[in-house]
Amino acid sequence: MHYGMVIDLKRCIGCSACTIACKLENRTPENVYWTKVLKTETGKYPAARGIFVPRACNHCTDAPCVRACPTGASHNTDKGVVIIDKEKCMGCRYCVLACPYHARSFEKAPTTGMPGGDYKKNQGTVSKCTFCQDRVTEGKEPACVSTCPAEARVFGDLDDPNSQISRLLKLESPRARVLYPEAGTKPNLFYLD
Amino acid sequence: MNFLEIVLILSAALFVIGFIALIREYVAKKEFTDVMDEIPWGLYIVAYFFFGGVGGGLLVWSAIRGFMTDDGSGLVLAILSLAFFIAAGFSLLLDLGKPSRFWRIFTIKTQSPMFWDFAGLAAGLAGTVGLILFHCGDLVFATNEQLGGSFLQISGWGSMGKFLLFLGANANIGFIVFGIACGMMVFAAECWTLNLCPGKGLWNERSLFFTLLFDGILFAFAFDGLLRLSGSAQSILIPFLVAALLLHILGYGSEHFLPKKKASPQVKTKTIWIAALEIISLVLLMINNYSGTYWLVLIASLLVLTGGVLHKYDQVILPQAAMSYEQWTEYKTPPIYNNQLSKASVCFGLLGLAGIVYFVVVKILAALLSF
Repeated sequence: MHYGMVIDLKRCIGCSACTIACKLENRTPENVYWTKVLKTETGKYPAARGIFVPRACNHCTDAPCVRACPTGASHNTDKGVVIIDKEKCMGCRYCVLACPYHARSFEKAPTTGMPGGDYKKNQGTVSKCTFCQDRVTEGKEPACVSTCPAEARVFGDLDDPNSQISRLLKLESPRARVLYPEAGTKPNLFYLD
Repeated sequence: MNFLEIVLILSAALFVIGFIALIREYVAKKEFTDVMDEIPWGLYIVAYFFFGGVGGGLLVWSAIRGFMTDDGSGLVLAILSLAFFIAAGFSLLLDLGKPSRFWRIFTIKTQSPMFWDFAGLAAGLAGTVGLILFHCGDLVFATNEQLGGSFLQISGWGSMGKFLLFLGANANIGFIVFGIACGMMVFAAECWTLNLCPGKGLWNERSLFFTLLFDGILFAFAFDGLLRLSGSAQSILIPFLVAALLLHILGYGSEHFLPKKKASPQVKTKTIWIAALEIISLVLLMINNYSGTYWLVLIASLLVLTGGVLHKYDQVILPQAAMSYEQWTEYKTPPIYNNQLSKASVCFGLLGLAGIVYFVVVKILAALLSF
């Protein structure tokens, strides 16, 4: 089993509902966003258009953050998800530097945030998208996937050829790409251009 | 009051200032205010590279002095190197988000450059201890007048002192080679740390090891001249400064010397300042060659060290602020590192700590020798 995600950029409307859903689900502290939608504009009037690119951890197979971590806190699970063991993280922020996708956040001293979050315990450590492992274990989809009103995100098992994600990648292979392939990280977050 | 007593008092004052700044940060819960996701490493890491570079350079210079002479300067250089390695270690500890979990570094993840940073520091410390033992043999020949400026006044030789002298007098060239190898390991670890992002081509700099080694030895000569240790450093400092100037002005084809065109405006002008400081130092040293005035060497050395700190700032902050992978379009404006006086105060405190550690180690050594 190897989890991955596909984001269809033609479907994304830049509403940032995924950002809010992720924050609500994971109780991330102030100024920490595990997923965000980057918005740029291209072209000139009257042909200008907005481009919305949802960004999150790419859960790379050859993750530089895992290699950089001196304590083993950042590691790949057997399902291909890169997670951070909060008990081991000493907050050196090597992984933040190593990640070419700027997917990680350092949890500084949060003064406000979502009720129920474990702020004091996680203060001084690094956090990032976990593909909502708790939800996935219960058979649900990650919060960002289930919330997306445009159904731009698809999550599933890349090793299962019959899964929706595998079939979508096969069908839309000319449009499928990953971010910064030259980094050699083998990301498992795909974009349909 | 002699010169080094003044240095000791200054070190103590700097340490107190840094300590108070650190306590105030923790009390006000502002210990991470300079950390940004775009620029996660700040002044403490700059301090680590500076102190580590000074320690490594002093270690190599101390080892080389072992080939050249036995006037005791090698011993003083080795103890100074130890003090700066300890300051470098503390700068890494202070930067951690959870310093109490520092012991997890012993997980020994050899793929992580940070493990090798600590291993390099440990090797540096081992190298300095080895060289201190080796240079103990110098004490047979060095007079109290030669050592007098270094606080190392030998009041008498006890059995422990004679044993250390015996070890030092019979230490062979292996100690020197060991010291140089440990120094190289420090620079190699630092080099890998700065080149740690395989995906960020900006940091894959093959010449970086030599840049770091060069910086370290330049700093060592500057400290040697500043503290009037060997007497020969200023004459060697001149050609090194000329080389440093050429490297900075010509750019050496390296982003670590010249900022990229799209670099954050925060660091764009730093190279000009570094070159200016080096030119002034060079002029002062050349004047000193004719006049023999120590104050010129003092000011020149301080300017070289100031330029060195700015260079380390560029080496650490610049690649983070330069933002590869077209992230300009993503973030709209370049990130600006939030320099903070409190963080700078703590870094000065670490410099003061190095001075105090030097004093303490010298006193312990003198006590051991008379034991």
